[in-house]
Amino acid sequence: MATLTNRLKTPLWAWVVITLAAIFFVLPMLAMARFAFQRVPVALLGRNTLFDRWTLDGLVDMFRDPDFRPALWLSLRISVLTVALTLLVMLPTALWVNVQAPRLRSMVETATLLPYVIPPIALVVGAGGAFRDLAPWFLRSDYCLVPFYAVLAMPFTFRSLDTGLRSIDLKTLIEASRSLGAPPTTTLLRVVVPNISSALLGTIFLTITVVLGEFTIASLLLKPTLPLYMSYSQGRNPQGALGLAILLLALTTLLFFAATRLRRRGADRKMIRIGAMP
Amino acid sequence: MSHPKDMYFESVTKTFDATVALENFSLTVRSGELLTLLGPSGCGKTTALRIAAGFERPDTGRVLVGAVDITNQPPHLRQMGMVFQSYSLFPHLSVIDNVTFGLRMKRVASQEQRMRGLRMLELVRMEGLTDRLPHQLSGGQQQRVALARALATQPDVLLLDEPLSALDAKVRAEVRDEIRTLTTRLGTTTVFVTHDQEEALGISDRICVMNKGIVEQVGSPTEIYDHPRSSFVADFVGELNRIRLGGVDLVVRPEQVILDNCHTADTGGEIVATSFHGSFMRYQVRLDDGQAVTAIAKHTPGSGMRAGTRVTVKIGDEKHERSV
Repeated sequence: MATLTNRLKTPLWAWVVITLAAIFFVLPMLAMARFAFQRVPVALLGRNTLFDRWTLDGLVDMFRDPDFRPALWLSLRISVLTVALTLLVMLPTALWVNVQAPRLRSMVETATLLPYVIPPIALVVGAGGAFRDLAPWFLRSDYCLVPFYAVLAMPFTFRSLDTGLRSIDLKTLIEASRSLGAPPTTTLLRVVVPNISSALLGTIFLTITVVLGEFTIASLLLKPTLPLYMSYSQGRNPQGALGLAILLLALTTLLFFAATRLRRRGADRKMIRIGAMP
Repeated sequence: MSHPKDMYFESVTKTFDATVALENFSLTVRSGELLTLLGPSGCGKTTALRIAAGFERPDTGRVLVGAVDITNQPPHLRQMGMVFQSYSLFPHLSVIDNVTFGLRMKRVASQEQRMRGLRMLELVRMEGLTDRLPHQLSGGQQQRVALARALATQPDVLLLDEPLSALDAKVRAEVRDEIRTLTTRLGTTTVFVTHDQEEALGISDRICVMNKGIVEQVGSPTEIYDHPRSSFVADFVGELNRIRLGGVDLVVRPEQVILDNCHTADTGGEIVATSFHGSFMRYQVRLDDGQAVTAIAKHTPGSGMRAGTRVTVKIGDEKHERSV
């Protein structure tokens, strides 16, 4: 009901701005889609050729390219490991902030924002320099991207987990579980995790989004990830590269919306619970 | 007189930063009794309860159940049931799964879990709502389920941390009576924490009045009310008038002040305000020498007096005419 009223109240100029913005973002994508999926010379792409020779050949060629699969698998493996590392580090951090040290929240929040202000090039040059001397094997491995990506995703992942944990009465739930005979790990897995499942899923999706979209660091460290492969194959198979870009864009957008929806659902559930208290 | 399930606090001291929460706190909770820790906020009552539950470690001193020293036992190994001030049911579990959670942790067979869970829910009159989720219950229902959950594992001691304070007055009285009936029926040793003296007087076998981390007095509700051992206890439990009559300092409860609208030679005064409480009437009286006195009189139809009425003030019940 509230959204309906809000929608009716939205002034006309706002709609104009929204429409212009939508055109600004959607038109290039439509152009991209035509370029990627129509076998028509670029110069001839126009109103007359709108329905001519739509095809998935470019994309299919790309899937057949022997370099494509390794790149895809590498990115997927890095996604899984980054998700694991993120949960391993950020979940305990968020728990600790919420249970033991709420006073340190603003400090931790600021710290998780650092990736926004540190340019990836600085991150790579700094960390790269340190690791080249200390552990040269680390930068040789493709998986050296995992910690970088976990750091890059931190601004999103910490906030997502923190929101989830704040939406429940964490301290009381933990204490109730402990007093009922549940050891700490059981409490974490059977009481905390099920109650922040939407926040956890959101965290996972956001992490994957970051990994599938990152170019700079992978390029600087010369790791053949999917975004890098797409960039390099543009020369060989521009249609396929663009088709893949569209696919990835659709996938990450979907994941992002899923994450936002899940977080909102978590918040809604909290509202219902408060509403039920007489 | 010691019993294998008595709980003892032995000289427990606990400090948070610079604040002393408990100082040399010693107390015996007798098996089967309902003992209330009563005091203003910050008096250490909740800290004592949390130390019993294992959520806080004392700086010095010990906690024992029978002969077993549990001071350093982690919470999940103690046999304590706890009900919290805020609603603490697991939001993702149904009522019955909440109640049987402790039994699952103790690896009770699933058939027996369900049986014992259902029996507990019957005891708190929630057997019809076993499959509901916590957010579908009212506050009073949630606290009753929390009570059933805490009792389902048959704990040595039931710890109640202001379990009624989030409820409205009528539900509060209901749940309070239910706690009393249930713990008596099951013979559960119970420690009840509250800052509400009326609640404490109504529910307890014994009350331990606390102030600033120390025990002021331990005794039955009537002992505490009729024979307060310190002026803090006298002030905190029930209401007090401190007046000076005929050169003597008196400390009297409002119900010991008798107002009479016939004129006699005794102390005179005037009713300045009245408030009606159903079964009784409260009067604010200003004595002729300017002192203020509160009086409470049982209400019977036609017995009320209005503000502005001239009254004679007498102090009934000789034995309480003493300074504390």
